[in-house]
Amino acid sequence: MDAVSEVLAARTPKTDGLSAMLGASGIAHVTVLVAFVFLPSWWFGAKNEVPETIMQISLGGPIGPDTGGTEVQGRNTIQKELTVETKKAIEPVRPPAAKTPDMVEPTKAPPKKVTPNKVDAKDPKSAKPTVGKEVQEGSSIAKNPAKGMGFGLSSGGGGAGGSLEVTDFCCPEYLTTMSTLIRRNWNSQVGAVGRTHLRFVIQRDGRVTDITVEQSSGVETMDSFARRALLLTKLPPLPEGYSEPALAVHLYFDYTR
Amino acid sequence: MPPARGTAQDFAELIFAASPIVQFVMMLLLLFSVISWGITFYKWWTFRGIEKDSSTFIDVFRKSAKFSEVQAVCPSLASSPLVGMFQAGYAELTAQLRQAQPPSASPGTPAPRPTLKSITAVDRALLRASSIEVNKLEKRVGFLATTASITPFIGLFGTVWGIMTAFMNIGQQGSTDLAVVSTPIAEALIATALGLFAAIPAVYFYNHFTSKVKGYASEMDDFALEFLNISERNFT
Repeated sequence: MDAVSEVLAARTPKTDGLSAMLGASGIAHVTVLVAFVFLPSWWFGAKNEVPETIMQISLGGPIGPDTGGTEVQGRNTIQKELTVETKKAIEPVRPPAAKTPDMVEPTKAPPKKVTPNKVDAKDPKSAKPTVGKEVQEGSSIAKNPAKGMGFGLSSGGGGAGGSLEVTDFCCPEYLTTMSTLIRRNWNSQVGAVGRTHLRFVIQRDGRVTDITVEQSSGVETMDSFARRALLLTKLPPLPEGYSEPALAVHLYFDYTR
Repeated sequence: MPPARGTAQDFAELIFAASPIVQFVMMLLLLFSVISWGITFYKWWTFRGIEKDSSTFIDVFRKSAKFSEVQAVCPSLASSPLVGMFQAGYAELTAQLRQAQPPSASPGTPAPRPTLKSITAVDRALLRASSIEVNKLEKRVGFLATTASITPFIGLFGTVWGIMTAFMNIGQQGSTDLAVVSTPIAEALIATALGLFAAIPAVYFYNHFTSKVKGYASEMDDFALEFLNISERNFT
């Protein structure tokens, strides 16, 4: 074996440090796997947050009595059953009984032709009256008196209108208060027509946070007036009956010149 | 409120609930990942040592007046490929010079200037050393390329298999309920995720290491020319 080959043979090591590195790599993988299994789930983007309660209310609208956006059950006429009155049978009008004729000489006049009283079938007098319940139209369907979620009412005037989309918001009174308070700070007289759609979140303690313009009216003034109204408003804490930590509200500000 | 999906426990459950073939694929991918990361760590470590030793060696080589001085420091810088080349060239050089040395030189007369028989033989020795050193540098880097190219396919196979069985189950149960459909598909998709997890670093480090090896190879060529020049200047 020549000198160069000896040198070259000496340069090729029998063992290298790979096995140690493989061991290190294996340990690293096991660590990563274990970490992956035991890491909190939010690392993977899983959200445990409960979905926000979303409510849509609109301010503005036609002028009318301020109902604050709540609907009073008793205000609307509803369908009701009428009691059937049993009426006395209608007595036909009868002529007074004919007097016994005096003894007179029979005349030669032909006997008067008597036409029998023809009865028209459609004559209500002749028909047997319908007996039963009559339905009288009202403006509203009869409702379950339980408190519903129909919070809305654009017809309410004063300007408040809206609807609560969630099915589990407990307390419409709170919303009434809220829209009253907001409207107090809101200058709706900007001399233009438009609608600003804001979204905000009411925290447990009543703070109003995360005010975002969902849809701009296109006019800066309207947007800023609406925003300002929210910023100035001090709301009471969320009602006890509402269990979620916050309430997200979509509020429409309708400017009607 | 239903419990949120995608928790860590769910991942573990998904992996353990997968069908045996999919689990086998996952194990295979994990093995590939472990080995390729092991190679990556190893190469990274050795290349760091090589860079340090090579720069020291070049310094020593250029400052020294004699090859024998350089030869003395070689054992301490053994990881550098330049050391291997130098040692091969030096061995060839000394072998030639020893043969050229007249054995019966009288001690009184000054030794004649030693000369080389063949400079191309030295060149060949350097070439041999260079190819051996490059082989050493490239060793196992190929596995990274293998990992990079086949693990996505292995993962895909696992996913296809998993989705196949998922659809078979759907057919048997006759239900297209999302709960029935989604869990097996999620299981199956983990295989693809693992394949990509193994492949992406492998691609990166394969490219990284091959470019490094290319750099070392050109450094070695440069060194070989320098060594030949010095030998020619001094021994012919």
